[in-house]
Amino acid sequence: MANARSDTRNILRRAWLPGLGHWALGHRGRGIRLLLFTVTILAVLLWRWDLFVTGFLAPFWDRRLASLSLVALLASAVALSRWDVKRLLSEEGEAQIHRSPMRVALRRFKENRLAVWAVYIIVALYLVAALAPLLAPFDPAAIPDVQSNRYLAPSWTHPCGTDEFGRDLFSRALYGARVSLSIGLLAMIIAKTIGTTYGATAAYFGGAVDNVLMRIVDIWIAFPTFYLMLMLVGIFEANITVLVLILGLTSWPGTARFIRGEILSLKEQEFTEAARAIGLPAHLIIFRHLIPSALSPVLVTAALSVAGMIGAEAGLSFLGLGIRPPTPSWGNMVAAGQDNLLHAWWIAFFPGSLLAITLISFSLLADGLRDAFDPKALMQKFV
Amino acid sequence: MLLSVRDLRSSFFLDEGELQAVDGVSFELDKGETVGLVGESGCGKTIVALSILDLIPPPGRVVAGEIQFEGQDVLRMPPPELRRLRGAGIGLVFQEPAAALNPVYTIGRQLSEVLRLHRGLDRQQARRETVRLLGEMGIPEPEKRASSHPFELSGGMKQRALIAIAVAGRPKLLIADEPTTALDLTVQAEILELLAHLQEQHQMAILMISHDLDMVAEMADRVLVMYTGRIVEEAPTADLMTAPKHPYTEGLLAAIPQLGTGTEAPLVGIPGAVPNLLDLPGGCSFHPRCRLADAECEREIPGMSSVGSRWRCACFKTGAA
Repeated sequence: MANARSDTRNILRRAWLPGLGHWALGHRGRGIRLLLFTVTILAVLLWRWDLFVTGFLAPFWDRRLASLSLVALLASAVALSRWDVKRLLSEEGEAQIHRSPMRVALRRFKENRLAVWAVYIIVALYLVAALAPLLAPFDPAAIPDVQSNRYLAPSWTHPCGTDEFGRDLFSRALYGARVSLSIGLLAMIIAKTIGTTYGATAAYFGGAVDNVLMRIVDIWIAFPTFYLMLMLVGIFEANITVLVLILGLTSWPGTARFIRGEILSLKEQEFTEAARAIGLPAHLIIFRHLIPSALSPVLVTAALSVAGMIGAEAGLSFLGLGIRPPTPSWGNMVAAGQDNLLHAWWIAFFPGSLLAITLISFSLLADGLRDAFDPKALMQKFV
Repeated sequence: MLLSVRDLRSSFFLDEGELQAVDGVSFELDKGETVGLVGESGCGKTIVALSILDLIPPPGRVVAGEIQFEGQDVLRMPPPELRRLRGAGIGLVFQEPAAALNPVYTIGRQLSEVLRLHRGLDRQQARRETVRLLGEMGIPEPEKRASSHPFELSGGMKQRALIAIAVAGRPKLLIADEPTTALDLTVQAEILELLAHLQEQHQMAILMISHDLDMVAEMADRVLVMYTGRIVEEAPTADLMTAPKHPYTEGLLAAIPQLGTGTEAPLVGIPGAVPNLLDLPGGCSFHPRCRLADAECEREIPGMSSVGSRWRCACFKTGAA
């Protein structure tokens, strides 16, 4: 009997369906989450099989991207789960699990339930955004018979109601999520990459290099960012690429200043001298030794920065300077609802709520990260 | 000759003025030789070590002098060659192993960084060589320790790992800057043993920097004694330990506690304190603390003069004797 049980356990461990292996190894919670994730994606796949297949051949990038994301998500769920099971198995035999600073922080982060829920919400939002063309019940831009379809209150066919042109707001909110969330993430990545590299370079070389680079930052910061954005949006035709670039390229100086301060103190530490003493060239010292040590506070500000970028995009779109209708973004959807607030509250309510939920989730995530990386709290864990 | 340092002068340019941390130091080092560099804290020992690798942090720099390693001028090397020198030519062991290891990375990763940089190994070769090196350093369970982070190791283990990093590039000279100061006595002895063993295995020269004359005497063939940025005495270890010529060396020796001799003689310290480098006394900088000092010592700086075979001393009173 015991043999039969361990046999099933062994089979489950090798199973391709994510989550089964974790279940067999006693990691029930992680197993269920992985399984739920996979089943959800499989359900979407089966439900929208024809859309999924035609998506690959569609001449539209958004549909092709959705189908590709679906495949990528499934593949990564399987690969990640199998890798994790392997890791857990190898650790079972090992008495001591090495505690890297990252892993300690991760464990602390998991203790913060609010932050963990924020992560779930953010992941769900990004999933929905990636799969929007497969999930949306209607074409977000198609205008049906306006007279009979406009200003419909939320119902089973139109969960978020319809707008003044009779378009389905649920579908539009899904597509709007793609625009808002991708702009937030991409602009953050651009800002943090430039800011980190720039600030670290200035701090490491110091002296005249530092002086010149940081004066440029001072000048940059002296411009009021929002008006600079307004001006740039006025010059260039606003589309997603332009908005990402504008948001990313206007908000890196803060990161640069912040990172410079971190690196200035790190480079005085002996391990930097040790890195120089083994003959590492400057760029490897900066990217391999200094930046990784300064990265945890950057992660915290990165989460806040995504929220800031999404907010800024929504603000620009609300003013009619960002993403232009008919392409939906949460910002321009709220703007469209503004005129109808008294007789059709749902037009502004749903995108506005999504916006609020997203921003709050990112703030909670940032809070959780900050607490998890707090070096003082970290020390208490070790002592 | 492996290393020759000629009239090295290194200064820090502070708001208060120029601080001459190293003021005209000359010495030579042969292949496979162990030389000790001894002096009180702040006498410039570490700056000599950093100068040899051209690693002095700003606002300091080498002001004058010549450093030749294997016939090449270190101070005029182009950056890529200088980087090869650091690690592949000369290895440096730091005083505080806890501070010199990057806390974010595993020991193995920091060690393979050197192996890949200087010996051109690929990821897998580096991994294997890492484990072998850690084993050679006397670290138990090297496979496991390679994936440990610095904070998971004891002080002695960290120092072994740091020595492994210093010798990983197969340097011809190992500079050990107070390698045992942060460790307790039993571990000190083990680390010294390890260094001696490595020297024999790899035919390395060692420049051993310490404030502990007794410890240096155990390892070194020759000893250099430094005071306020200058070398005051240079002698074979046995000569220096039995019949020091310079009053400062004499004072250092007298300050070593003698155990088990039966004579409960009180410890003799050197009177006075090390002078401020920004405001050195004129003449021989040791004269305010010296029992032999007279008017000449206050007026002029004594040069190094030969007092025996490979034995030199910078003192007007005993040097000529």
